[in-house]
Amino acid sequence: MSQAVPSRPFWRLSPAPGRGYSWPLVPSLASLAAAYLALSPVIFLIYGTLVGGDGPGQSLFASYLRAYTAPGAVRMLGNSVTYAAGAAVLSLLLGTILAWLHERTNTAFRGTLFILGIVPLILPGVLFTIAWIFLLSPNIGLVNLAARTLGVPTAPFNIYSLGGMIWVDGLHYSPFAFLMMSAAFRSMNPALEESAFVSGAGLGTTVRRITLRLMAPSLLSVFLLLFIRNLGTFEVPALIGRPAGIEVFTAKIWAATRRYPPDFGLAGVYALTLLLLTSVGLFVNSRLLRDTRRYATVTGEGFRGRVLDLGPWRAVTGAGVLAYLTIIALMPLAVLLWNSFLPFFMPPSRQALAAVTLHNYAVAFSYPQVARGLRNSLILAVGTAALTMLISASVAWMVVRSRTRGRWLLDVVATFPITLPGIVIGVGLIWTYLTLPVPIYGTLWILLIAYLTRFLPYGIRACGAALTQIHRELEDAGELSGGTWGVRFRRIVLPLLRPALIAGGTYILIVSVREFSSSVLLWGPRAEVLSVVLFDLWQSGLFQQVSAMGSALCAGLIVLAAAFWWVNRRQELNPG
Amino acid sequence: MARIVAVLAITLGLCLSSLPGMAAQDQVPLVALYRATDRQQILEAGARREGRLLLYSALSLEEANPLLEAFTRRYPFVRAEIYRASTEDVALKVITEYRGRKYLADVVELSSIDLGKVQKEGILTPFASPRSGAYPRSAKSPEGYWVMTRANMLVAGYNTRAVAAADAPKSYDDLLQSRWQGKVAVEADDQIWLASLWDFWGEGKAREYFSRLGRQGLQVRKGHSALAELIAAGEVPLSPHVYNHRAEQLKRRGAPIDWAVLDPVVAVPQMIGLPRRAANPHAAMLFIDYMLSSEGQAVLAKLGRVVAHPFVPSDPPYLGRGFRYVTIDPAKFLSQFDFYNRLWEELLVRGGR
Repeated sequence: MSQAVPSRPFWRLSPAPGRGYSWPLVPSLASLAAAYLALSPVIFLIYGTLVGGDGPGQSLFASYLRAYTAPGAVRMLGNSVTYAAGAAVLSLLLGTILAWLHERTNTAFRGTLFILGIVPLILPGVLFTIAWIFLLSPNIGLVNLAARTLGVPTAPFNIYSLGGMIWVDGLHYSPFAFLMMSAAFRSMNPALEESAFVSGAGLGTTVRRITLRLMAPSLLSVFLLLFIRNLGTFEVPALIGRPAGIEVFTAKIWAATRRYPPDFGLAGVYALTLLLLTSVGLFVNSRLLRDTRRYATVTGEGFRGRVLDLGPWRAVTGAGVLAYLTIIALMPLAVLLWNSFLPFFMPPSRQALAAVTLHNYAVAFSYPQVARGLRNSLILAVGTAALTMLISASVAWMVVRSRTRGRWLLDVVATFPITLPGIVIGVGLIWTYLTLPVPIYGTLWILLIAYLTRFLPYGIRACGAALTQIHRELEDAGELSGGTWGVRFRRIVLPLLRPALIAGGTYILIVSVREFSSSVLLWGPRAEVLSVVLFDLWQSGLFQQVSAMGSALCAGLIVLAAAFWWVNRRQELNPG
Repeated sequence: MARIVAVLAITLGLCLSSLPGMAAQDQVPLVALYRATDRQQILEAGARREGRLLLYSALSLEEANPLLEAFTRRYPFVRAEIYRASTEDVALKVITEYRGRKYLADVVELSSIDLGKVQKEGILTPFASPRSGAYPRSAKSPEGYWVMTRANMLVAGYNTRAVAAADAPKSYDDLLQSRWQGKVAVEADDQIWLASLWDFWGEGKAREYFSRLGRQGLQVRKGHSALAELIAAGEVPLSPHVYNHRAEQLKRRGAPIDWAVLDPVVAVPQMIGLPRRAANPHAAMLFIDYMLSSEGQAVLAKLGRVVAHPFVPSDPPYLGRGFRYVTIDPAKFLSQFDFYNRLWEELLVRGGR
């Protein structure tokens, strides 16, 4: 970390000590960078929609007209909203029940739930989706085959449907809802629930009249976050929606860049509409969180979370937890692993067992593209995590600590890309770097910029939250002792922020390895990343090689996550 | 302040200086059309200087990597790389790049339709390869913009456990029998298959045929290779347009799949072309020569592809011989793409849902 802090001459340019925290150079530059990253794709996106119409005779706003008069536009909007809302509800339902079990009850397998339950979060969406296609295809899906051997005449499930899309995405993000809702339960004082019990209310009444009402803001807020995220996701629409003919915004944007001639104007219009939708969602969310004080139950009195004794129901909920873990982690990983050993897709049988081979691993790992994708993804993930946290710390300092006017604007601008779906950033950046004379198109640099843009808001939020909890008197003391801004930042702020930096950095590392929806538009020759290589192998029909590569990747990611968890725990046990 | 200005100026200078060399652009046609006796020496000397080659192609990695390895064994001083995606995606990538003045591709090898799009954008430049002499006139652009390298033959593929060989369709009309109701799958974007047959049969017969086929309750899947894989797996029993080389590969691996010729077979030619601003024109010409040579074609054939060279048999030879096939003129298809696309959507895809 310490080498990345600017060298002496740069921070000497900051105002003399005693003049306050107004404009030190480093955070100013970081703020400029953040603003540039956030604004450039959107500005060029708008520019593109105005000039992107193809051929002569097209009016300036032709793209807008074309987008909104196209047949099927209304149906596409309906699909998008149904898909995003449906998957959000599914995630939220699963996540809330699990969070309640985990935080408030003594259900069996509580610890296992927390450790294994978040495994899907580290799996790339491309892989999770592919695994579920193997499980729920109408005729060869293993779940459907199992149903048939049990005597069900027709395949009960068809993944190639809106329901299938909702199932896969809702399931994949249920651990996210679980984590968010766990936090919410933890900060809700159970005294009110206890009072209800004491007054003779049953479990159902208590949950309905106390728990759910107190949780309403959290529930709505997590729902909105999931909804926004689902609107912008592209893995499931690309792998399931396209063959099923179910179009959503991200698929439309992709299709518009894939037409002949490529219609970036149209892509831009869809992207801006999507941006509008997600912005409204986030605005509602921030309004919602503004008056959460009414719901505050943790007061000066202090409280201790009470654990509800489920009694004989412990075994039932335990079975539920196991079923969930099987569905979300075990089945997808098992089907990938099974497939990776076969010469072509076969349901489990003695004949299939006889055909088991390691050939797919040998072939997949002989591809230079796979090795390069692995290397590039790692470089990008580490680079993105380090740069993001460094810029975030500086920008957060500027927003939280400095007395600069207009720092609220910086906050708004820098965290605004949270509303930008990956594919929108992709389209915006293509325009930006095909227009500007900066030769990074098709290289890893443009991917780095995309990742930074996507993940900076998360870093800034993490650092900002941590920084508000650290009193400024520590920095004041540093200043009185004659420390320049750079010294204070490096010796006081960064060490105090360390837990936030590590947690935020780890999160960004994981989401960068998974990133697909920007990468799929921006990757270039020799600049492949893992998710794109997986997608391409799938598109070439090389299902077994995808499975081999995916299995190896899952194993790697799980080992990595376990290592992080272990290091983290050791640090918590013996701090310092 | 002065320091900042200096830093900015240097950065800008670096950015501009790394733009592709402006002088190189006129060199490409000279290299491409060079015919003197020292051609091979000139190309090799130039390729040695360039040292690398970037191929844009839709060949799957399973085939492209061995092909590039074979090429590199012949010319070890060229580091050959591939940008691979689906043929539509590769075409649009090149087109987008040329509109943005980014010249990365040295050679483009795509389906006739997608290379047609690239040519229409003015991206290709004519070339002269001594190796193209062996090819029939129909396999070469009259102006020298492209030469055919291979073909994808669209045949009926079926799962042998779901369909006995005796019951397999023997003609397009067989697909209209009521026993295939709900059992036929089509690839999501095979407008060229419809267009080629439309062109061959004429409006009257074709419209009637495709509307009846659409009423068979078609399933839709994406990707021809994926479709063959799904037939082998038993996901769908039958499709009228899988690549015969792909079905053959799976069959050799022991998968329960076979293919049958429906007369006429639709052939989708794959062609090679040279972008006018190729950064490594010498290496590009060496690669084009190699792809068209009997040596390169034999490598492709060994990988299971249906090759274009008249004297190199496919492996097994019946992949490319023994049946009648039709192709559509890419220019005609492109100019009427909206027409065919509408038919495709209305008659087949929507009829199937």
